[in-house]
Amino acid sequence: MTTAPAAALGALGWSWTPAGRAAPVLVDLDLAIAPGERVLLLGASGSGKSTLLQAWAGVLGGADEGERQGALTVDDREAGAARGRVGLLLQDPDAQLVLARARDDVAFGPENLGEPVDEILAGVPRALEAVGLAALADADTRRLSGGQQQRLALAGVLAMRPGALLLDEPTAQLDPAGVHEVAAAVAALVVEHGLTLVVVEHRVDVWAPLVDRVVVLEAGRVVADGPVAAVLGEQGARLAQGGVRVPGRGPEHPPAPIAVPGDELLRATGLAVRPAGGEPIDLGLDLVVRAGEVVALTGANGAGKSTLLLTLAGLLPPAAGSIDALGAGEPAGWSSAELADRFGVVFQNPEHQFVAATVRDELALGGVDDSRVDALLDRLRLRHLADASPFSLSGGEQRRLSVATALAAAPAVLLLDEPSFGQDARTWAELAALLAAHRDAGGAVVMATHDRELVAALGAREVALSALGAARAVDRVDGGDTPVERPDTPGSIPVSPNERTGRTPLGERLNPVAAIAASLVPALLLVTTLDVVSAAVALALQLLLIPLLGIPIGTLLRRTAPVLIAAPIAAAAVVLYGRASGTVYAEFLLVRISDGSLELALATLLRILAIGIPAIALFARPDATRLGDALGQNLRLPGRFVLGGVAALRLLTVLRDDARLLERARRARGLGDRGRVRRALGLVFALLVLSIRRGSALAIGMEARGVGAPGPRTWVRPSPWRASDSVVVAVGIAISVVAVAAAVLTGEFTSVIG
Amino acid sequence: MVTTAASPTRPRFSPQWRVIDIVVASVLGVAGGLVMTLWNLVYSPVTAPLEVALPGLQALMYAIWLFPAVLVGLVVRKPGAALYGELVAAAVSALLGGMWGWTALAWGLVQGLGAEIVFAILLYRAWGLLPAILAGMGAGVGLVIMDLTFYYAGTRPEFMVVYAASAIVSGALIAGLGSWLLVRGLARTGALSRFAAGREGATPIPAAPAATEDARSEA
Repeated sequence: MTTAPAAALGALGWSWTPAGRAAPVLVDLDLAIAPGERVLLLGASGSGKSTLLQAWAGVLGGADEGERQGALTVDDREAGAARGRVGLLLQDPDAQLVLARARDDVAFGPENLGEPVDEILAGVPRALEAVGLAALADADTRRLSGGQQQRLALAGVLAMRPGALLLDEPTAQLDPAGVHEVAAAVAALVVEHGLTLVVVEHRVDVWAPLVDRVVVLEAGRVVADGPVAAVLGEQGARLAQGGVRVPGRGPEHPPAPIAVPGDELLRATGLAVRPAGGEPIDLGLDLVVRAGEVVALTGANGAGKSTLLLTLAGLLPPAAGSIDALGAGEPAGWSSAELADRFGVVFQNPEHQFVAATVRDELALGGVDDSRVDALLDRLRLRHLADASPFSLSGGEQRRLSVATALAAAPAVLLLDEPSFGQDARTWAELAALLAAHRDAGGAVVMATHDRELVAALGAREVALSALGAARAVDRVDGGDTPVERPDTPGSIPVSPNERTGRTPLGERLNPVAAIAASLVPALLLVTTLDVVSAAVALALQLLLIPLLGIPIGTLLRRTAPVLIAAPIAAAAVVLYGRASGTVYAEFLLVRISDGSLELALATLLRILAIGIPAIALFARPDATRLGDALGQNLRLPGRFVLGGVAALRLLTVLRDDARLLERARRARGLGDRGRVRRALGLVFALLVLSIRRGSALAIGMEARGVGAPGPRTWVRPSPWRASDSVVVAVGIAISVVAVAAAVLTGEFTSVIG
Repeated sequence: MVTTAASPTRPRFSPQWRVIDIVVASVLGVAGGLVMTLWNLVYSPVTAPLEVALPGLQALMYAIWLFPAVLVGLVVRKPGAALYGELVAAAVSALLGGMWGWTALAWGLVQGLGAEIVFAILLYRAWGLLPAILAGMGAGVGLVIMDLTFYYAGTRPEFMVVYAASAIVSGALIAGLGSWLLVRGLARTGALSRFAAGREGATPIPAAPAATEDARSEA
């Protein structure tokens, strides 16, 4: 594909102090990166690496976000002035993909830059090809694996034809296969096109072969800069101490197990598992976990590791077979309090399991006494953060805290899902030490993991799950867990109805703006009427016409259920309290059931149905991308706001998975026995925090992809307004007219006005 | 150090929306729409006892439909934020299948304006508890105007008075006080660190005691 010439990056006496901070994050920085140079940027967490990448990408924000001094340049211009010259790839795939279909998402950046439609359409397949995703152009971005999602995000960056690639820990959240995929894709691109590359990562071994220069940042200053071998030789020890994985200076491993496994703590027999909302996986697993041992569940993605772990932890019921733990029967049958007492569970994302306002309260949950909380705070170096919110901690601190909370109640069995995912070498070593200590104190550890080093360090007994779901126990480490190709075949989104005119039902072909207008016009009229006739006529006409939309009856019933339930309940209230007239049938305090109130109630019932049903019928399959395209093109609403809304709607689909995870985590933490309202409120708060965090990361990703760039935006997918759209809107108006005319002619017309 | 700022930098107020303002406002609006959708399903049975006690009193809980306006206004602090938040929430509730269809947009518009006008009168400078309560009441006035005009036009005057008073009190408590508490809680988690609302409400996090400690996570 055609690429732009490589970009030069520079910093001259540059400092940045974010709003609300006393000290600058980056201090008087001088750095020059030549076009085509490949640089690995190292440094401990908090050294300013990510900030520097964001600054070059021009997404640090304006004067209300902080103060800057000196100059930061891309080529010879101020960073941020040259949108699209540098491409930024972030850590979290969820924070970068905006649209539902892969190729739509790739087009997103160039669209924001206002490039011509033809060029964008030609560039998208080339960008997908370049990252090896040509076959998945129509895939649903949510259903791709982590490695595929990151490669797709890379394609989105490439489509903007940048001169430099800035990668911010692009593989931190990926399993080993995903790390390999992404690193290989980047290497191919950079080598072929001679792009400038700056990558922030703590896994040196992955990137060292590709780069020709290493820059080390410490507390916002450059402390080392030079060829890879020289810098690693000079700074290796210091870097390793700061958490960087320097080859030959691996993290410290805990001592080997001191005792042979003892009493049986957990036994699974003939186990099959079922992921929430998925198909059962028949593992046929027989497993015994004993005191003083570590069991590692390994295998490729989709083999059922995490599902098995959650099932053993009593958070999912077994699909078949049985589990007996601690002589107390099936863990899935225990109360939440019992579960929290007996098992300590650590989730992949620590933020899913935090429930308290402060670190101290988090540890004290379930009545852990103060002295033990203090001891844990000291042991995990969290004492100075005792009163901070768990959500405000850094990644490594959050991981330590999540393990500490699981250990707080001194459970017999510790169950962990990918505990070492995304951790730097320092946190990794601390984690390994904690788990080894638990093992040697006579506890058992069961963990689902991809991390071979952790399996070896803990002397874990490995249970390898094959992708086909059959389990075989492999004794000790070095078992034959060869990486298996990803079994998941991501689902595709059917080609947009726009492009298959004539074959999709009218209901899915309609322009979303037409759908809104057609249901809104009669609805606005109906809310101003009080009589039975106008509502009845409108409803009857609508029910006659809805079948023409071609929506399956099942879908229609399911989606209109809220209205069908709410309408009679609302009508019942009017029966009791509506304005009385005519014969009064019953009277009690303020309740007066009369001819008048009965008639009003009937009108209310019909009105709600006539307003609610068509609104849903015309939107049987809401599609955020199409809605956004229509709002931006047909209604010409401001693009930035439309895209913000579309992105937020996409996050809505993630919320359901989050809610499930949070429910489970709360059961594991002993809060599952609480009342519904309290649980719901806690859940909503945690969901809000997660959503805002995702939204904030997404905003950086979107800005890096040109949202908010000056100049008009290109909309690459047309949102045509067809004759059928005009007809549907006209029918909506006609229904309103006929309904009112019928009411007037029968002399029944009553309006709220007058 | 070469440059040392003596105090935290004071951000300037800018009426311009940043991309993060738009995205987070949208996310909160969508979340609000989800809450509205769930509330649509249960509000009737939940408020029925109030209604039986005194018709019109059911509106004491109706501000659950209003909180996105105040919440988004308080977090984003930009002109139009309260209106945008309420409109997004209303649109999402219509999209997910609400009993009021797309007419929810009209309610969202008027309710959002109710809160927006209060923030505007305060020149987008005051974001404390009292402004939050007033904005909640403003949204409540919007709800009263819409409901009494379109849904309860035929009801008795005493019902209208009780209904209006209940809705406005509800706006003050649930939408106003509730949103203010929620923003304070969110600020404590550090999730709002890129917003002035998050920087004011958050307790400063102490630095690690020794040089070997983890540095703070990067922005």
